Amino acid sequence: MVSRQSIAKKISLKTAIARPSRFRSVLLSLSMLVLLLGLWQWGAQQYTPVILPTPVAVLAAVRSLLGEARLWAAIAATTFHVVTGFSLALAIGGLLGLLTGRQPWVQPALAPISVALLGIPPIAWLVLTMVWFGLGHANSIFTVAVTVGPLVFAGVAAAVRDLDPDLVAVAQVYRLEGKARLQSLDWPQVVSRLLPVLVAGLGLAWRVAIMAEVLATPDGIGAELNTARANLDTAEVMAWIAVAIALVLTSDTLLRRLQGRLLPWQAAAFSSRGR
Amino acid sequence: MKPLLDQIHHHYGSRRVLEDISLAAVPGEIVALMGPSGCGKTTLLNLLAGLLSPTAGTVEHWAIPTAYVFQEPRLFPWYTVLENIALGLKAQGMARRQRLQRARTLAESVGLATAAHLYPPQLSGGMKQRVNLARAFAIQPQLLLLDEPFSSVDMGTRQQLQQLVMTWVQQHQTTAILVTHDLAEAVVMGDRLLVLSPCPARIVSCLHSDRPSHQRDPAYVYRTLSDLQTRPEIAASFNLNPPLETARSFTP
Repeated sequence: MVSRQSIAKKISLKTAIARPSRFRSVLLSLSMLVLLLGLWQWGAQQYTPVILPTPVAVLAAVRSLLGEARLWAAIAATTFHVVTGFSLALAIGGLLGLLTGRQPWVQPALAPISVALLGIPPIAWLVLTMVWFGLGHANSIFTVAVTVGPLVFAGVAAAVRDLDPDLVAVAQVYRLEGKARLQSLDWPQVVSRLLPVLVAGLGLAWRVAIMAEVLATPDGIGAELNTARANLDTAEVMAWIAVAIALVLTSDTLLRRLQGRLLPWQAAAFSSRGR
Repeated sequence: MKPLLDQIHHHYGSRRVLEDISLAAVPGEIVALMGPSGCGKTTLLNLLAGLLSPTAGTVEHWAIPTAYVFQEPRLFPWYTVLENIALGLKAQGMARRQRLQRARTLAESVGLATAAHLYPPQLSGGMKQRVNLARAFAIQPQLLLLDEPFSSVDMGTRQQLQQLVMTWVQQHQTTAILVTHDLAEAVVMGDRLLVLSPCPARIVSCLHSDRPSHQRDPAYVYRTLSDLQTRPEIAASFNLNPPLETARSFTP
């Protein structure tokens, strides 16, 4: 026999799983974090600090970094690489994408290049840049630009090419032309499709920049990571990883804020989805 | 009568869609176009709107501006209700403040006063169609094209929107071409009914309503409907079953 109470309990449990409350989801995240830290602590006790330092040791390393000038120098260098490389990718990829979207005959000419660039692993570029540029900022900047550029190119080309034909017909009927059409139709549609691509591209830019710095650039977070590794200071290596995570999260949050500011209607659509 | 279409023929590749269609209308008139699905009614509206060019024949473009109420709302998702309504005014170069002012008045007249600043994803289907309609009214069109605009809204909203269009057409002496699947809607709204044949579409019958729109009460509509359904050309066009002989032979 199933009692009425147990059915009620089952139903309430079901709704709770389907739609976790804010409290519940925070609780879940926190307990997962505690579990991970526990595992980490346990692992650290099994091995030497060179293999796996304790969470407390890493925290201490982060703290001491916060008081040092080289932290800010490294952040500045990495940010410089990312911003310059990403801007180059935006400018070149964006222009070519715009051209391809507007003039379909360009597509077959540029497509093979784009596919080839997308297919080349960033590390391969790094090997080439070391030959071309030696060790310096250029390695990191170039690798970021050449990795993110094709992504931007493909995104812009698709956004410009695939205008919604239904809305284009509306624009035609109501004689929306020239600047007014650009403002009302082309630009908002391109921006709305492009911002998600940019969010993904910027995340990629950080990872590629730091990787390039580890191997081929004398400054930046990646270079500091490399130095810490050479010193067998694993706690500091992990502290730098924490710094990198914090940076990526910050840039991601900023870009998403911008997205919310530029596309208020998407936020409106999101908030009304439960209706 | 002003001519709109003159001996129009239209093909999509080898498929003939429209054959020898001529159409003229007077200001303040609603012409209801009826016919089976896929017979080329929307093609006809697209020709009138200038979205298509006919294979042969002439489309008279005297009616400027022309507004088109599409079957789906086709609102710009990044624009609020007011900005969507003001779209055609923006195209005409009207200043922002002025066009939003006009849009607000229109929004109120179509029952959207409280929704002025919402975005399309926040609107119900009926509200979207109201915006679609107000966007068309905003440019004060000489020719108003309506492509089954009320087919996806509930009955109450449909009646309200039908009334809105009829009043507007009367007041502004607009010419309206209404494509509809719904015989009852054609009887309620149409001053003239044009019945198209299945593909390729030809005008097989042209019926004038004998009552002005404000006198078409439910009893009239019901009577006219049952009368129309027994006409062979309408039955054929709508694929209705032929009238039952036995039904007439019932005796009290």
